[in-house]
Parts: sequence; structure tokens; C-alpha cells
Amino acid sequence: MQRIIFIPLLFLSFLVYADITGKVTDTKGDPIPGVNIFWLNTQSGTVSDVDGTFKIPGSNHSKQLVFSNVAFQGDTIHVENLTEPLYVKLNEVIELREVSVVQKSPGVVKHRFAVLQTEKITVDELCKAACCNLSESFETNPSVDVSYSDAATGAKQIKMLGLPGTYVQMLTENIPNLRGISSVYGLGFIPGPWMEGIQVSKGTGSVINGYEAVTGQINVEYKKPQTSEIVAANLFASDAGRVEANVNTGIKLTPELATGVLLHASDELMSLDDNVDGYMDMPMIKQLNFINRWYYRSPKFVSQAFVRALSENRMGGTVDGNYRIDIDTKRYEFFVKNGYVFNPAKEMSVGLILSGSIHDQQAHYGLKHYEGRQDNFYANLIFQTNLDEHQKLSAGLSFNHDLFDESVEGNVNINYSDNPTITLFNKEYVPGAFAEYTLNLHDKFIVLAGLRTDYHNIYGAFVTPRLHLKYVPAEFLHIRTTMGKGYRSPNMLAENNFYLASNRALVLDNNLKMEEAWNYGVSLQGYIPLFNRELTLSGEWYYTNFRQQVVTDVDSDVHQVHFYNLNGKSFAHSVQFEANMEVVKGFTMTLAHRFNDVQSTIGGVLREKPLTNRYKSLATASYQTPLKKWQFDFTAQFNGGGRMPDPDPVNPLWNTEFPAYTILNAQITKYFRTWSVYAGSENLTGFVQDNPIIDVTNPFSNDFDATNVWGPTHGRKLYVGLRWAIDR
Amino acid sequence: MKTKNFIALLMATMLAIIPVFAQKSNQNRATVVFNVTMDCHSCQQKIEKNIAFEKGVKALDVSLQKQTVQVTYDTRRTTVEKLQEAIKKLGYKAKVQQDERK
Repeated sequence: MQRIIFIPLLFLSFLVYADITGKVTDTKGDPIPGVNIFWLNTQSGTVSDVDGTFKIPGSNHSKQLVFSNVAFQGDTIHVENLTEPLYVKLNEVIELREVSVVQKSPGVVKHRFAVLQTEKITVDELCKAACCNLSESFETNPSVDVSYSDAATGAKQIKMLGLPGTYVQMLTENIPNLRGISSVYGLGFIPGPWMEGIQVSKGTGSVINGYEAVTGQINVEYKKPQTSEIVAANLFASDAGRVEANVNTGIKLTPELATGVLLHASDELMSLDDNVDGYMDMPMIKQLNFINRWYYRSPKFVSQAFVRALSENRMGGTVDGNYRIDIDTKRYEFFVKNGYVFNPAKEMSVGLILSGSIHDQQAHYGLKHYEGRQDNFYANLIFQTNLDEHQKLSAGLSFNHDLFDESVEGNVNINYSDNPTITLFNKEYVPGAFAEYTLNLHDKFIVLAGLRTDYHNIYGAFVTPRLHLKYVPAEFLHIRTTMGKGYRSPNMLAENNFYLASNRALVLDNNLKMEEAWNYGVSLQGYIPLFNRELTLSGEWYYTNFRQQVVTDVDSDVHQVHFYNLNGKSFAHSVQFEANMEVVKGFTMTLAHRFNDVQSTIGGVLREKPLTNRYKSLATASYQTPLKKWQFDFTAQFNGGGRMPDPDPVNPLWNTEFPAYTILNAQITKYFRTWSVYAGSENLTGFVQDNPIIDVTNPFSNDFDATNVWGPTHGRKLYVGLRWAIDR
Repeated sequence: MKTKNFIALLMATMLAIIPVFAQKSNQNRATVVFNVTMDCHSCQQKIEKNIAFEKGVKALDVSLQKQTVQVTYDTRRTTVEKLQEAIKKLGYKAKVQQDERK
């Protein structure tokens, strides 16, 4: 839908039947050969050349010129009295309905034209911070928070709309990923320099990708061999002893076939204990990560293949090695995507996605041991067609299979049956069917209605309705509403094994139900002309209401974490305001503020969820010199305080509240023709949480707990890096 | 309190930096506009990235919409011909449109 066309509509009515010439490119500007171009409702058409150019005789029957190719979102352009070449930009189809706004790109692009409230974090934005991996990519983004789940393993968790990341559906290349066991450390599995962009959409999202999104969807696109640099490399080092190297390549073997390799290696050369509590401030993480991908495109058929292998070791605990946390992960993934267009006129196409992964994790937390394996297989068959000029239908079938094989030795019990060792073996099969209908009236009013039904071998059949509306009463005002349902099958051990980094006993009720929630949202976006520039203002309110939830209770007993079914209310309100403007040429500022009100029935009482910030503000300033030779970026995050888990009333070892705190990041980048260097600092003021580990001197005592984390455990970090690339 | 001072200092530094970079003397400056056929956003970026590093270039405005490249340069260090050659070397046709604001 989105496009950049430059059609000076000259009102010369006598040139109607002249030939029309032009060029079709993808969002990166590379020509697309083999695009079907024809006049709507006629037999008159052509196909674009190898260099993307085309020539088509004018038509007296139709003024709608249709551009269609299986790998790209089709486009229909109203052509009248055209005298200049037509430049058409098509979006890749794998982005489904994500829309790239191609303009002088600010780092975060709020999609004006998307139905869902969507932000795209571009490469430009990712380059504004050290951005070693996905977990660090949201530092300059007001909508997504990243926090450590514990002080010992460095596991990072995102939060959206005030709720944990498990309620956000993570996608890579629009395929569900980082689910179950891999959700705990998975944000670290995606190196920053590998990413082409990240799309963040709030609300339940599209039903095409499944029923799991409750608060949002985050989709990561890796660099693609057909559009990426021919070769690019990145080196990074920080004063905390971290070193990283990344390389990616993209080679076009023939005009139709391209392949690429992405490599990542990182290591920690020293362990740091700045707060001298005897524990490493950050675990030492070693990672090797590899992707090979293939891309094939002919006029009617497009195919992609992808394999990946990852090996990671993270080691934390005491510096003297007395208490050791040692986590070994091996992960293998593949996917194959095939698409075929059988009626270009109606953009009728069928696509098949097959993907799978094997995740193997061996974790030692002191004397406790967690071993988990998760095998996943996923298939999604999607049929899409345009019903007419305004209406589109997508429908399909999906199948998801998860196999969990877990065992825990240590202080764990299920349903209060005291057992030092437990094993869980869980097989899930979920076949499903879905349909999604889009009505688009001249981009002024858009309806996206989706419905899916799935059958889960453990939890039975369920229905997922979702409805998104967008209304543009005037060009400067965009209104969106969303409502929809999301579900999740709880795998509490897999998703919470970091709690073994405390001596709380893990207590799981054995009749845990599927989590079920409604999510509602309203957002307004205003584009206000101001001093010949544009001020973007946005305000939004989201409400998530759980009908069924597995409560993580760390309040009722200081020596326990208890997982049980919600009995009562559980909800989250999130209200956010944001202002963004290029104040003077090259100088861009963003200000954002968000309030969270997250409550759940814990121990029979409706109360605030612990370790959740009550508000968050973000201010970013970015300046680029006129010739783009220097760039300065500065980010300030103001995190509001919140409630701590209840301490022991008799012998309180921590406070009932945690305070507000501020984190500052800054970076300077110097660009040269083919390379750039950057240097920066994270957490400039060196703020650290006091006493992040409870009973730190006795890791084997009952009170030991490294999971009461609300702030940074590592002080100021300095880093330098280098990027080098040969562009296409 | 310490944090607040720090932010203030940083903000002040950033604001101080801008005029330094924005400062220009108008001696020996000339501006030329080339008509350049560009098809895409990445062509624009390619020209921006490369021409910025040509000798003597002081300001640059590449417009995909208008199909123009406007260059302000130091007359002692480069010429219109050299700039034209640099654009051609990147694989684009460049014609001098007109001289603006000598």
C-alpha cells in the first residue's frame, strides 16, 4: 500500500494514450524484475525488466495501474495524464502488513499508514546505541522496557504495556520464535548488527501469526542477501571486557538467486565486581552464532530457506567460584518460505511457511540443576486474494507442535508434593484455522477483522477474535482502535527457571489453565506543521484484562515462588504520550511519558504487581552534522519506582518499595566513506541498585535471592566499535 | 541532584556543539545544482554518503523528489567539473542546472 511515487499530475488531457514508462524498486531501492504490471480489469499488461524498468501503452479503459509480484505487496496506482516516468516502490510481502515509510528516516518510524499502531526501529536507530543484541535495541524506544530478571544470570526481559515479555509475541521474519525455554535468554540470541529492522506493534495484532500475542508483537527482520551490503563487518569492545565481532554477506549468484551468511562471535575477557559483593556484576557470556540463508525469486514464485546454529555459555555467580551459575545453550533453527502467485490481477497468492527448532539448555544454579529441551515444528499455509479494489481476504491453516522435556533437581515441588527432583514431559499439538478480512476505503477508513480457531491437545478448542480500525478524519489526525483476544499455554518452569537463582522453592499447581486475556487500545496521532517542519504528537491508552492467568506469587511466602491459577481480577492499564520533532535541521528530539497501572489478585488480594515501574519517561536528542559526517546521540530514561515483593514481616531483608532512578546513555559516531567508528557510554552516571542480592554472603542459605532486581547491577560502561561495509 | 546537574551539563554540551558545526564563513563559497537521475532512496543515500566526502564539499542537499543534487563547495578546493565527475563516477548522469546564490 505504501509507496513513493512522484507523479506530477499535469493536467494535460490530450496525452491520455501515451506510453507510460517507469521503474519498480523494492524499499531498498533495488530494481525488481518480473513485476506484473497491467491496467485493472483489462487484458493489457507487461512485466518489468531485469533492471526494474517497464513500458506499458496507455489505456482508455482503465486508469488503475496494478503492480503485482509474489514477493512484494501489490500496489494499484491511479494514473492519469502522466508525462514523466513513474517510480514505484513495493514492500516485501514477508512484512505482511508492516509498512515502511521511506523518507528521511528518523530512527523510529511510526507508521502513518498501518492499521495497527506500529513502530519500526530502523538500522539508523539501532546504530544510535551500542546495540549488541536485541535486548539492547529498545534503549531509545519509549514503548518497550528491558530489565534484568535476576542479578546473577543476566537474563533480560522486555515489558510492554506494563506486562512481561511473555505476553508479547516475538517473531523473527514474521515466524513465531523465542517461545518457551528460549524466552528466558532469547533476547541475547539476536545480534544487533544482524538486524535490518524491528517492528513493534501494540495490541493483539494479526491472527495470521497465531493466537499468542496479548500486549503486542515484535518482529525482527534479519539482513537479507538480496538487499543487504555485499559485505559488512562490525567490531565492538567495552571496558567491562566484552568483545564482539559480526560479519554479514549478501551475494547475488544469478539475478534470481541470492545467498548470505551472518556470523557472530563474542566473549567476555574478564569478570567484574564493582560493588564488591563477591558476585560478578554481569555474567560472562560466550556466544557463537551462525545463519545461512537463500533467496530465490522468479516472476511468479519466491522461495526462501534459512538455517541457524547457536551455542552460548553464560557463567555467573561468585568471583571465587564457590557459588556458580553455569548455563549452556544449544539452539538450531530452520525455516522455508514459499510463495506462488496464480492470479496477479487479483494478487491471488498462496504461501507456505515451515519452520522448526531444537533448543537444549543445561543450567546449574549452585547445587540446583535445570535441564530442558524444547522441539518445535510450525507450519502456516496462507491464501490471500483481493476481493475488489477495496477488500482483501487472507485465510489459512496452521499447525504448531511443541515438545518439552524438562527436569529439575533442587527445591521444587508440584502441587505441594515434596520432591527433590521432578521431570516434566509435555507434548502440545495445536492445529488451527484463520481468516482475516481487510477493508480499505482510500486509506481514510480501514478495517482489519480477524478470527481464528485452534484446538489444543491439552486445553481444548478456543476462538480468537480480533478487530482493528483506523480512521483518518483529516490528514493531520490518525485515530486507531484495537480490541482482541490472546491466549498462551503456560510453561512456567521453562519460562521461569531463572528463579532457581534464588533459594525460593518453586511451587507449581498441577492444574494450570491456559492464559486468556482481552486487550483494548485507542491511539491518536497528530502531525502538526510547525515552522515548516512537522511535530508529531501521539497519545494512547491500552487496557489488558485477564480472564485466566497463571499468577507468579513471590509475596505470600519469602521462601517460595508459587504459580497458580488466577482467582479474581488481573489487569494492566498503560497510558503513553509522545512528542517528536526535528527541531532544527539534523537535530531531532523525542519526549515520551508512560503511566502503568498493573494489578493482579495475589494471595486473594487485588494488588500492584511487584517489580513493575509505575511510570517511565524517555528523552532522546540526536544531532547529525549537515554532511552526515558526525552524529551525536543522547538518551535519558527516567524510571518510576514501584513495589517490591513482600519482605519477611518479622525479619525484613529488603524494603517494600524501590525508588525512581535515571539512566543516561550517550554515543558519538564518526562516518567515513566506507566505514564508521563509534564510542559511547551506557549508564553514564553509574547508577546501580543497592544490594541486588539478598543474603549475598550465604548463597546456600534459605534467604539467598538474586531475583529482586529492579535496576542496573552494572555501573558505567564505556565502549568503542567500528563498522565497515561495501554497499551494493 | 547530581544526576540533574549531569543532564544539564550534557544538554548544554550538545547545544554548544551544534553552532560549532553549523558555523560557516561565506568566503570562497559557491553553490551548484545538478540535475541527477535518481530512481530510489538508496541512490539518494549513496550520493549523500559519497559526495559528502569529496574534497571541498561544505553542504549537500540531495532531493529524490526534485531529482537534484545541490552542493555548496569551497571554490579554492574543488570545481563544478570535479563534482560532476564525482557524481558520474557513482554511476549517475549529472547535468548542471543553474548557478544559485553565488
